[in-house]
Amino acid sequence: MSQHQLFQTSGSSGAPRHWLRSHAQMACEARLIYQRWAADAGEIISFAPASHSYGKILGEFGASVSGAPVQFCSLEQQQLPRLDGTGHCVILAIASTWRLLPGLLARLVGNRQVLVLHSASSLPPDALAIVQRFAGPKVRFVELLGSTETGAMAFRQLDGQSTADQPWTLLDDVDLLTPAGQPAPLEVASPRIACEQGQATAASHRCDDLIQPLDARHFQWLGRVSSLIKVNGLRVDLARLGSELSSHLGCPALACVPVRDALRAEAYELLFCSSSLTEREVLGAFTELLPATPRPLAVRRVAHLPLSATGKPQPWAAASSVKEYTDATR
Amino acid sequence: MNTPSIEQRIRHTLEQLLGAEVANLDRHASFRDFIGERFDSLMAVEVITAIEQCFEIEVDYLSDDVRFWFETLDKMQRFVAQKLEDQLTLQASV
Repeated sequence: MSQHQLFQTSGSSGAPRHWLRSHAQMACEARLIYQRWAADAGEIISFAPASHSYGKILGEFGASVSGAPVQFCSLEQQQLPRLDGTGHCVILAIASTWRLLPGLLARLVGNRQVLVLHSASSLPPDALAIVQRFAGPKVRFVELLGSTETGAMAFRQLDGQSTADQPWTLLDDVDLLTPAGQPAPLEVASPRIACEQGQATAASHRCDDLIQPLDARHFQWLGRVSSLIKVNGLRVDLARLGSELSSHLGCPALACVPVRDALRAEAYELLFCSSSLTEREVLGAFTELLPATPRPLAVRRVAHLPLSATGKPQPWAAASSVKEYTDATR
Repeated sequence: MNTPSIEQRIRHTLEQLLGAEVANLDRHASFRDFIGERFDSLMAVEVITAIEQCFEIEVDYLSDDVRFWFETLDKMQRFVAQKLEDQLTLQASV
């Protein structure tokens, strides 16, 4: 049996990259998390699939190191948890899980200790209100910042007073390499860095996250350096996706614009300007070209798409909302 | 002016979310297939949310069999009718 697990970070297009994480690294990470927050775990309910590094590590390896059984569930597939377990319940949440959490917690909190771990994307907009409603001695919320390449790097313990800009603390075996001072990409060293297939082992990794270091162990997360978003935990590189679709459809005025979403936390809309293309044809390009890519929340034909001096759609990062991007009323 | 039926209100709500083709969707056709061809897997959850908001009802994912009741427009209509009836009964008993 292989002692490594292969993960793919394909983004939306372009050549997929393959990352190897050793079983020892994954067990180490699961032990680190469970010993810190749920040493007495009696059950794990994972909404993160085992094909994703988060579900693999804290679901499968979590079950192995804690001795607690794991149930893999999915809101989108409507595979919902049985609530007949006992003991300390650990819920591995992704963005969409927050839609279900109030009902789930209302049933669990009466007689069980609950730990909600969230990872794989930023929190959805309503998450802090749910934390405020349920956080207390029996229900704790911890948000983990990580990636396939690094595993979990940092955490925030959320409570009734938490705000969206609450600082992050590095996990014990992670060191911050980002220099103090100006905002810069998050760079970390850790014994749990994945090895890119065919490459030498790395001890450090520079991430897509933009941070403001506060001290050697704390930082504030400011956003992403690139056009990457994580739609309910699935990576999509919006600039590459837009470029690929634009080229396939022969439509230079096409852009994928990030938007916040209550269910997916991060999502995007596709805007295009064309007198001949229809919305249906644009959606059809996904089926032909990128079947596994998360679909846009909406495909909108707009009368005018602002272009840069070189004739390309304005960089995705210039738009904080579709409204600002298009000047269109929604 | 006639009050729209539950089915008409569902179709109208879902047209806003999914586009004009909902108007012509067979009431017994699989909604999951319709969504799957066009949207991401979470759109099924969006459909439930839209129906909740339209009729001011609450769907409990853990006790309502959403996989069954949200499979077709016909089943959604029956589910909503039952929820509204339950609400009326509860209100009358208060």
